[in-house]
Amino acid sequence: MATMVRESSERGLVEACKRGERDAFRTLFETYKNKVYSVALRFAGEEAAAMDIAQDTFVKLFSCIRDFRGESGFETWVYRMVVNSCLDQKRRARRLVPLADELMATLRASGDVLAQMLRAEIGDRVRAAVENLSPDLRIVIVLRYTEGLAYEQIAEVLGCSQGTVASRLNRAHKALERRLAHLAKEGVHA
Amino acid sequence: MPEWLERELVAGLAPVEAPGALRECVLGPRRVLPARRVSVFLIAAAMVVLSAGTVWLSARQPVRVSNARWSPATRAQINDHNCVLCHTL
Repeated sequence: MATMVRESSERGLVEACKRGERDAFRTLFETYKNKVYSVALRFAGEEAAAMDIAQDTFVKLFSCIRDFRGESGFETWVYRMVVNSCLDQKRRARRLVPLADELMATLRASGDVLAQMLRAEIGDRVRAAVENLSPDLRIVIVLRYTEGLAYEQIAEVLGCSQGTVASRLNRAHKALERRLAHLAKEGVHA
Repeated sequence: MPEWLERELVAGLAPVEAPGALRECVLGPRRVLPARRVSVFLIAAAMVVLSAGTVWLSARQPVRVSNARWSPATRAQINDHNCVLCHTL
């Protein structure tokens, strides 16, 4: 029942956005900002890149909302946008060099990362291991553990079969287990 | 998958709250464009053009001194004649 209410109010919101109502855009942003930013941060691993991805996603979302036909759920559509922005950012990052202002942001972020390492070393090791996965495996892990999506929804977001999702998750789990085995040996989880 | 790994993945990859700066960037009156990045090829091309320009400028002959820089006597000598060729062109 709650899902139906949410879906109908979401449909109304999307329609209002299609009409260009500013308040509707604001509500849509407030509804999805944490989801979009979380996926972006967990995928990219650094705040500056996550901000880029989140901005890019919202700019695309607002400009392409007229193309949303409701064939899939709106949330799935939003996740698809974030995933595409994440993969685009990954491709761009290989070819491009940061300008001075971004370099400064990166340097500032390094300090934050150091502080974080002191606070939660284990969490950082886990995140570092996830960042080392290939983009295909990483995005599946992020959608599963950051957003808690079911296999079916991940498959819908990525446009692949549930079998492919299961296989990627299995490969990612094995790789992470291998890379983080020292945590178990050190008795952190005893 | 071991239980400890699942626990750590859930804890380590927990959702986070979007910073306030994101709202400013997306909805603010002066929307900030995504941070600019520039291709290394573009930087290399700009540097080549600048170096070529520098070489070209340094290799050029010195420019002739303009009329305004000549001494008043020389300027008078040039302007005060009645050469049809000079004064009709």
